[in-house]
Amino acid sequence: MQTVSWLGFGICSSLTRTMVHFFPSAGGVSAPYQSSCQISVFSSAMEPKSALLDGVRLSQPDGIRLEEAFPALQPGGGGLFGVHIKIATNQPRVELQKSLCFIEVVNQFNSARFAPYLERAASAEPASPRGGAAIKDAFHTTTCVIVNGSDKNETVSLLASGIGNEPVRTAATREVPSGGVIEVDLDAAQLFTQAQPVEQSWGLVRSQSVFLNDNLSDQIGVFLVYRDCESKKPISVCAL
Amino acid sequence: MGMAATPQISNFWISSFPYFSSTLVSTFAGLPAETEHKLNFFDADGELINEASSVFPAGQSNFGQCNFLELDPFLESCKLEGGLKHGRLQIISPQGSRHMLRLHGRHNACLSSSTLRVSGSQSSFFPMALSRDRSFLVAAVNESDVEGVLRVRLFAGTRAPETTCLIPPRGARIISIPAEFPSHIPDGPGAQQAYLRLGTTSDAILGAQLIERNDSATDRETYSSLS
Repeated sequence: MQTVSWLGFGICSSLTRTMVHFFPSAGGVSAPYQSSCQISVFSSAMEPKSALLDGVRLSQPDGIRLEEAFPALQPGGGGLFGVHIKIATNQPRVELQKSLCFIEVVNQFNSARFAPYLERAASAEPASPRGGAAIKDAFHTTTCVIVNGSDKNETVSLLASGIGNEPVRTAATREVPSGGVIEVDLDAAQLFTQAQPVEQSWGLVRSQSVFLNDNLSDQIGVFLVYRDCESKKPISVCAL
Repeated sequence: MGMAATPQISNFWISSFPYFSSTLVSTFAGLPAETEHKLNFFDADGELINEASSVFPAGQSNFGQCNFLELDPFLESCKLEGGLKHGRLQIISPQGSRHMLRLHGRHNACLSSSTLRVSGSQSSFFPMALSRDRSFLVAAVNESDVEGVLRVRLFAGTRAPETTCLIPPRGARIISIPAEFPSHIPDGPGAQQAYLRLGTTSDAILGAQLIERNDSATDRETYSSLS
């Protein structure tokens, strides 16, 4: 494979900025072959924009502050947006699937660094179930960010365990337009109403395992965002 | 049904004293059958100090479960290394399981993924913004029965110094970036974007996680990790 790509999201506000970090790698190949990195940003509120980064080298980590590459993301012009990252090389026989990418959402007191969703080749084996833990306690509340990187509208269902004769229930269903990014407040969506509180050393915790419907397009990125209860700033992000 | 034919193995760096408490958060998306999860706790020198097994019965109650397991009690007998009570947690579980670590400090909590793989055919990297207010630790674990050599190269500006660290078989080590690369920490305000590239020249299979401590808020420090 001579390309590898990821799908993620960023946040742009007066207090929060977003960086993309990437590491083009071909495993045991240590020669700094020339590579390229194309980054695209999109949302329902703005036209998709792309930037091609020159000077990218194999085995050399690099990164970019998105607000610098995309002036449309300056505070006041963005908010939540989708990010598509694609690394490529012209070198024959160089496989890039061991490359890595992280997105960092930075504010003054915290950085949430997370691995975006790795887009899989159409011929790849089916991915394992995409799931994670939604948590609500004195420190965290959980939201769900859905990024539609495909060229058509998609309906995304977030599933959760149910009760009684209904082992699986639909926690939230959202229609996400092509190139759109939405955030679902899982507490407001009453995800935790059936979750029994459990006493932990730091207090009561309500949690719920959530997972995605099987027939989801591979160009849909879904992320659980753990936000600070007081400031609502993202603390950690988990790609489903 | 017991353990699946091809279990998945996850490795975490865990710590209990003096900075964090560690809690394992597990989910089992799409696993309606009985699931068994085997946990092996190793201290920093690679000695097996505890074992545990958790079994979740078959049936609806298991579908979509989310489980919290506080790990501090399992680290009671863990020795101090580098001023920290820390080590490696190996989890053997059925495919479809997902585990995260909740690191709980005095003032905040964050979620951490399993360690990033570092081997002869797989390098890894971490981004970091070097500054006076932020300090970074690389928590390295060794999944193998042979000693590992972790090469840590810092890319900061035009310079790329490197340090190496020996990781005992099955054990763990902490690499303090300010201590290893003191001349690269800015004296004044502001931050310098830098990267760490991790590799190994040994046959060992290693793992690494990044822990950031942020002291920029008055009277409280916060921790974050890679998730």
